[in-house]
Amino acid sequence: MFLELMRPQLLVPRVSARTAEDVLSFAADLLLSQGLVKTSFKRALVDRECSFPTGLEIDAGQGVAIPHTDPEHVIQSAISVITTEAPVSFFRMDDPSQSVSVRLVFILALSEGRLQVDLLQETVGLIQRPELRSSLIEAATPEDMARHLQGALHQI
Amino acid sequence: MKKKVLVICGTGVATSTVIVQKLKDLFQREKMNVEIVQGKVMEVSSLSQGVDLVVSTTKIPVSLSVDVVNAVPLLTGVGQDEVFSHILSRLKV
Repeated sequence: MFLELMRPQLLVPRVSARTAEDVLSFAADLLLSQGLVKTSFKRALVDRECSFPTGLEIDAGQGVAIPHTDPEHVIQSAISVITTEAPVSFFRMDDPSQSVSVRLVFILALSEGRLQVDLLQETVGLIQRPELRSSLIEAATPEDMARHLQGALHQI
Repeated sequence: MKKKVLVICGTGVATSTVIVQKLKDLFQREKMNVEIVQGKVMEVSSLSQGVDLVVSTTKIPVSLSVDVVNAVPLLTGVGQDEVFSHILSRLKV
């Protein structure tokens, strides 16, 4: 599922962002420009991240984030993978009073149905791979990111 | 009596579904017949009535009479086996 939904236009390395909201805003604009989400998506994504943050701590103080929101804001399911030039602080899913330093973000735009679960499951399978996380963060081009993701997905 | 586990996330649809699938696989491997229910954190007080264990990806803001297990390691993979053993030990009495 991840492979089918992966588009090079939605893989963006080394985004210059200072805050989690910068990252969400960048991703929402990108998805909107491709006609994949409604204009309401950005607000919904940011609001959801505020109420239920998605930062996941993996190594001490460092991790990934998997922002997502309700299917009603999505036109066509898509996934965007973004790395940031410098670490950005996300609040933690399991403890919103704590933050985690993030350079790798998987933004899930999910329409209704079974798809949502499959895609999240694959995403979880991906973020559990330390070597993939570091190669994505080091990747300089969308093509590099796609190659690393494809390689990892074939092993899942 | 059949044990019952409640799986909680922020909205009760996305990450909790991933956890439900992982627990289904776990209970199948262990040949355990456990009922799994799913819900959102806002409803945890009422949903947790009569369950044996709560497994949550998000912080539970209220105090419950039942044990709560942090499910985030099942998403990151770090400490996943410990969480699985903890869940099993809580259900195998």
